Amino acid sequence: MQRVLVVEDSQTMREWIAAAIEELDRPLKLDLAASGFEALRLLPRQVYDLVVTDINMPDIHGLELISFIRSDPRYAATPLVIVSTESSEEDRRRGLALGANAYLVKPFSVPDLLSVVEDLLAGVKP
Amino acid sequence: MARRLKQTATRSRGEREFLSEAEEILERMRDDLGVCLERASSGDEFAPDVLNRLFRSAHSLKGLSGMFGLEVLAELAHKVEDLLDAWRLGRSQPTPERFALLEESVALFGRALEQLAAGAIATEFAAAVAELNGRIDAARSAPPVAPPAAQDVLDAPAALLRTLTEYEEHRLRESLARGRGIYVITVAFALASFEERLSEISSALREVGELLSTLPSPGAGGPGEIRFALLAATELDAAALAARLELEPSAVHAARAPRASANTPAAAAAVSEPTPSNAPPQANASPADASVAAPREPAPAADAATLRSVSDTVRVDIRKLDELMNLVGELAIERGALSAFARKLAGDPASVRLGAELEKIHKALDRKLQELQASVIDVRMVPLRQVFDKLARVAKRLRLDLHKDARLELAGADTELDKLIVEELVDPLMHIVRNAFDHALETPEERAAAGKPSEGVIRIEATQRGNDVVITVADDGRGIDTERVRAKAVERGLIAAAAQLSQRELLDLVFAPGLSTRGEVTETSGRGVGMDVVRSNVAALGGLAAIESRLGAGTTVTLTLPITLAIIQALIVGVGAERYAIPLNSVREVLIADPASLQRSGSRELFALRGDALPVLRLRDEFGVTSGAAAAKPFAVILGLGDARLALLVDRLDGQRDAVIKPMQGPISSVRGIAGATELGEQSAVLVLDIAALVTSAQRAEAA
Repeated sequence: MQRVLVVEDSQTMREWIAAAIEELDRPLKLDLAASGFEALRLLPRQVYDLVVTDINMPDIHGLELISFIRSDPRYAATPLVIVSTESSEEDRRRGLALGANAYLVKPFSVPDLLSVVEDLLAGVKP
Repeated sequence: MARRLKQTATRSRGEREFLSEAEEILERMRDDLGVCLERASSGDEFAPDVLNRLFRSAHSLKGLSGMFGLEVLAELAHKVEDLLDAWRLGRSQPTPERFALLEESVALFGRALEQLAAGAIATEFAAAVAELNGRIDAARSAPPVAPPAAQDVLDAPAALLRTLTEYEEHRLRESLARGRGIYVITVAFALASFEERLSEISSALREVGELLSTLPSPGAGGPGEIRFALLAATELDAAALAARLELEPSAVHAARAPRASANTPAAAAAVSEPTPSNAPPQANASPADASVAAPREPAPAADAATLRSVSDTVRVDIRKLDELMNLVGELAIERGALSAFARKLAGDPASVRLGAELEKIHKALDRKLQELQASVIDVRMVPLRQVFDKLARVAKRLRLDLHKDARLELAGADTELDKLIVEELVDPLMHIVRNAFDHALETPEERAAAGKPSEGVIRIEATQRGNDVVITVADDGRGIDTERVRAKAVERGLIAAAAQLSQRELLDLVFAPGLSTRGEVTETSGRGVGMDVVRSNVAALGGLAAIESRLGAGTTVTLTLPITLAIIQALIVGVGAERYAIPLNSVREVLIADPASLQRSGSRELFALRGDALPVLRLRDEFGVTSGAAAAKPFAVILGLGDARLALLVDRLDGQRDAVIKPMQGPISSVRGIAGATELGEQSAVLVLDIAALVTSAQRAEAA
C-alpha cells in the first residue's frame, strides 16, 4: 500500500484534496498535516511515496519543507507536488529548483489533481 | 471545474467548512488590520510579520474562494493579496487611502460571506467588487526595479539561501540595508519536543530582531532528532545574541556582522549585555567561526556601541513608576515634618534664627520637590489617542454589523491622563459607544422619518478642566424616554410607583444596577454589563459618570476623571477628634456655614449658595463621630465633581497637604465614602474621603 502525505494549513483545502485523492482507484494510506511542523514530525517516522504541499504556511513554509525532504536520503526520489496559487510564481519556480516534481495552480480541478497524482504514484515523472 | 466533490452531501459540508474557515481568516485580518492601525497611529511602521500574515490570509482566501468556484470573491481576494504583496515586499508603501481600501475589501468580503451563508451572493455584488477592484488597481503604484540580490555578501549555507521565499529574501535585503547583523543559528532538538524549543527561540529572536527563515534538516543523531538552521537579523553581536538565546556561542554564526552605524547617536543608553571588552573569552568558539567573522567584525571603537538601542524611548513597567511616585509622595510628607519643625524653632526666641534658616532651606527643597513631582506625574501621562483609535475601530465594525449609518467624531485625542486611568477607561467608553450605536441611534429609515439626516453622529470629546479631564460621548439619536425608564424602575422595584422624580433624577436611574431600558439583550451591547458598571468603573478611578438626554434629540454621557491617581493635594478637615483628607481637586470653595444658610426640606437638609440649594452632608453624622461637640458654625466645604455639587459640613479646617493615597486593606476597604488612607508625616494617618461616592450618595438621597 502506498502512503501519501498532504500538507496544507487550510482545513477546507486539506480535506478537499484528501477527498479527491481518495477517489483514486488505488490502495492508499493518506496522512494529513495541518502545518509544516506537523509534517516534520510525520516524515521521519515512515517513508511516503508522495508528498503534496502548499507553499504559504505559517511556521515553516513549503520551500523549507521540500528542502528538508530532499536532504533525507530516503526521500531522494520521492515525488513532491506543490499546490499553490499563481501569485507565488517566483516561489513555485524556487520550489521546482529545490526538487519538486510538479505543481498545481489553485484553483485546480479534481481531474487535474488526480492525473498528476496518479502519474507520480505510477512512477511516471512528468 | 467538472467534478468538484464526490457527493452532494460532502459538498454542502465542504461549503460549511469554507464559510467557517473564511470567517476565521477574515476575523484574523480584522485583528491584524487593527494592529497595523494602532502602530500607524503611534508613528511606528507596520510590523513585517503582521503584514506578512495579512498577505497570507488574503492568499488563503483567494485559494479557498477559487476552489469553491466563487470567482468574484477570488478576484477580490486576489486584488487585496496583490496590494499586500507589494507592501510586504517593499514595492509600495501603505498610505491611509490604500489602507482604507483594504478595510473596505475586508468588509465587503464579510458581507459576501453573510449573503452566502443565507443562500447565495447577490448579483449586484459583482459590480461592487469590480468597482472596488478598479480603485485598488488605481491606487497601486508601479513596482520599482528589484534591488540586486544581497546573498553574495553573506557567509551562509547555500541550502539556506536557496529556500528563501521572495518575501524572506526581501526581508533579508531590508535587514542588510539597515546594517543589522545576519546570523545563522544552528540548533538540534528531539523530534518530540522541537516545537516548544523552537518557539522559545523564535520569540526571543523577535524581541531583539527578526527571524527570517527556519530551515529544518534531518538530525545527525538519528530519526529522533531534527536540526534547524535559523536565519536571523539583529543589531546584537554574535556573543550577545547567543547569550540572549541561551545558546552556546558556537551555535551562532555571523553571516554578516552588524554595521556599527546602524545605531542612531541619539540613543546613548548602552544595553547591559556583556560587551566584548568584559565578556569572558570564548574558548569554545569554533576556529571556522572566527576566521569567517573576523574580517567583517566592526572596529574596536565601535564595539561598545553595537548594543545600543535604535530608539530614544525606554519602556518602563508602570509599577516602577508607581514606586517612584510613592517615594516622591513620601518625600513630600517628610518635607511637611521639616516645615513643622522649622516653625517650632522659629517660635522659640532662643532658636528663632535657626528656625528662619531652616524655613529657607525648606522652601528651596519644596520647590525642587514640586518640580520632581510634576515630572514624575508627567512621565505617567499618555494621550487618550490610543483609546480613541480603539473606539474608532469598534465603531467601524459596529456600523457594518448593525447596518447603521453613523460617523464617529473624535476631538481632544491629545488630552493626557495617567496611563492607568487611560487603560481602565477603555471598557467603560467602549460600552457607552456600543450603547449609542445599538440603542441610541435609529435606523436610517427611522431617522429619515424623524426628519434627521440619515447619517447619525457620535461625538467623543476630551478636554482638560483644571485637575480633571472631562470626556463626553454625545449622540444625535432617539434620546432616552424617561417615562419608560420610570416604568422599568418601578417594575424592577428600584423606585416607588408614586415617587416624584425630576427629569434629571429619572435619567440618573440609567446608572442604577439592574435597569436596562431595552427589553432584549443584544449581541453588541453584551450581556449583563450595564451603565451601572460604567459608573462603578469610573468611580473606582475617582471619577463621576453623568447623563443628559433629550427625547428625539440625543444623549450625552459625561465622564469626569482626575488626571492622576497617585498623588493629590489634600485639604485636611476635622470633625471632633477625627481628621480626614479631601482631594483638593474636588473642592470648589470653602465657606462658613451660617445657620441661616442651612434649610430643611422634608428629611433633607440644603445649603443655600448664591441662589442654589446644594444637598448637605454632615461628615459627623456620615461617619458616626461622637467625640467633641459639633461646631456651632461649621465650615461648608463645597465639593464638585462634574456638574454635581455637595456641601460637606466639617468642624475644622487643618490646612492643605500633599497626600499619597494608599489603598485600604481588610474589612475597612469596602467602607463607602473612604477612598484610602494617607500619612501626614507626624506619625499620623488619616482617611481620604471618596468624593465620587459621597456626591453620588447625596444625589441618590436627593432622588429617593
